[in-house]
Amino acid sequence: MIVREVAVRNRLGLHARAAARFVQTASRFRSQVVVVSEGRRRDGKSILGVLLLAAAQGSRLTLEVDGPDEEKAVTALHELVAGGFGEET
Amino acid sequence: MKLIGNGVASGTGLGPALLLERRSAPVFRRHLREGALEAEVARFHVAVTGSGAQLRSIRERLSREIGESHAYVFDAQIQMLDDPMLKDRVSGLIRAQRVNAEWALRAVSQELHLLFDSVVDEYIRERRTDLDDVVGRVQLNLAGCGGPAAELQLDEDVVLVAEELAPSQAGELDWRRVVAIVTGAGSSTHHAAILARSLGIPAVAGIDDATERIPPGALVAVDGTRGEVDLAPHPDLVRELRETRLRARATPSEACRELASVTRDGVAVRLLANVELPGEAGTAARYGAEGIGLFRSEYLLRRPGRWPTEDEQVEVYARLLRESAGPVTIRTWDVGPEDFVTDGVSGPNPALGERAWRLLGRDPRPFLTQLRALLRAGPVGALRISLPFVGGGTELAVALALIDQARSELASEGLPFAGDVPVGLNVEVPSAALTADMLAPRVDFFSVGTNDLIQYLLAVDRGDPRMSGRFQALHPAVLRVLDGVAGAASRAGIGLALCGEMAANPLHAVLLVGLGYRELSMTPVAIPAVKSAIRDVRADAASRLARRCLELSSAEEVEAALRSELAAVSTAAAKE
Repeated sequence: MIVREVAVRNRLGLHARAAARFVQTASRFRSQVVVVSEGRRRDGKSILGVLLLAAAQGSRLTLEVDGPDEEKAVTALHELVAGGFGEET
Repeated sequence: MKLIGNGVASGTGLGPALLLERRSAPVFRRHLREGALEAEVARFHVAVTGSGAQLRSIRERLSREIGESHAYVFDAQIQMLDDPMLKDRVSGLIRAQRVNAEWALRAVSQELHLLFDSVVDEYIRERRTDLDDVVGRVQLNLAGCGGPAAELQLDEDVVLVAEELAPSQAGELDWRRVVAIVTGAGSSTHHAAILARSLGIPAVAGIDDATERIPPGALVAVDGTRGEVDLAPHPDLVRELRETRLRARATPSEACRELASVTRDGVAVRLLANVELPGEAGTAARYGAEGIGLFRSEYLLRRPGRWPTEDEQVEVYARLLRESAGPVTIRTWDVGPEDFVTDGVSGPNPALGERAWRLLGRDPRPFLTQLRALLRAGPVGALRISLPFVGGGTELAVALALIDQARSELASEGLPFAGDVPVGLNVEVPSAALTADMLAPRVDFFSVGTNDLIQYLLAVDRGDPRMSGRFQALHPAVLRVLDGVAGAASRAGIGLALCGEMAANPLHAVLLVGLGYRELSMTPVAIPAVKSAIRDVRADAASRLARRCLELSSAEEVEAALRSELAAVSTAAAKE
């Protein structure tokens, strides 16, 4: 399992569009993805779970990725979040 | 009896009320035997798969007919269907509690509701309505009445009445039969309102308990401009609205589109469209718009503080220019502090507070970014930039200096741009209107925004339903100011346009032509009726009529003078 931390950079945080992109990306991989924010753990392939984290700009996420393609998955997700989802930061 | 709400999409419509209740199947708890559980889980999965297919088909249809901007709601809904917190949890509950799928789904949806309720972020809390929409759809599929995503077939024109129009319901309606929409919930930024405007359907929102107060099948008249729903329309009004509808039918926009917008004595009056979404340029052209007279760029802000990047804006503006039939006037950010920063708080009276250029001191970057994007999109077509909410020379100078800065930045960066994009002033603040002669030499055109101008001149809040009768476009003060602004533009030799609901009223449009306005911008659906009024009159006669109206001392007298003159004109036209 790979554990990596990343800060939410885009201004709106993990709102609907960003959450949908996160889930879309996570779902491309076979590995399990867990997102932890402020002690709450959610399935990274669940739109409801990621939305309900209500992670605002500046909050820190811990990505716990476990599975055959964990390396690729964690890189892709880290890039997406750290890149501010291609939105304004 | 009249119900008063907020007019969120202008125009009028008459028809029997069709009450659209959220179809819901009753949910009973059934206890299942061990051997039936897997079949029940499978039945649930079939309903989920069916719902997914329906949502994808709605998404596809909306994206084709209305534009990608409305379709994204369904992406989140489709993802929710397959969400383990919904799908796996329901399957688990069926097995663990040996209950039917309907009951398990309802229990899970209630759990999720509690989770959403605990979220502080209001925007995320609102996603609950998407969840409800999805759950409701699966329930209907379980009950066997989800059906294919067929349009709700209507065999007559109706006024649609709903407490709230869920996105997926909206996607299933046969919109050609809907002449007006009345909803309980919702403001002008609500999904249903935006949809109504892009389809050109008049809409009134904010009628509490609409489905209880409006009897099913009752003939109702809806005025989306004034925000009124008339439950017992006067026979004269019924006749008038029926005729309007028949005329609209009899004049297919195909034929109307080809007709030139000229008066009987050959004066061209250019009719343009007010547009809020980039995808509407096509709709506008279908109604015969010769271009876009007002693109309200702040609709690109989906949430406060979320400014589109420069490149995103270049793309949107270039698309508008490509898809429009003619010139495109883009109004720069007409925003308030609540749009400007995430935690922005508007002042005690937002209409008189920090707005648009008055916010420049807080952070010039969003303004500069937009001006750079506009100049960069310039080479694609006939672009014009209009500056909203400028009260006088000082504010104008600041705005013009920023445009110069954008030009010189782009030049030094070597990016391609159009340096000569015409820049105009939105005349909507009385102080600017009354000094129009001083401001005219410094801009390329005036674009008179009557909605705000009338509100400020008459001290009447147009959002306040109690004031609707006092919002008089034909008030002598309004006429005088419109006449003065037109005179200033003509003496300075600059362009003159007018955008606002006033232009959408054929009667008022004739008066505006008489006052010298040759470019009117309105909601696209109003164009055919205004065009036909313009084709009926002579510009010289309209000008004499306008002079006479300027002498009258009340809006009622002006309206009466216009009506009698135009009745005479159309009788004369009919005889020819």
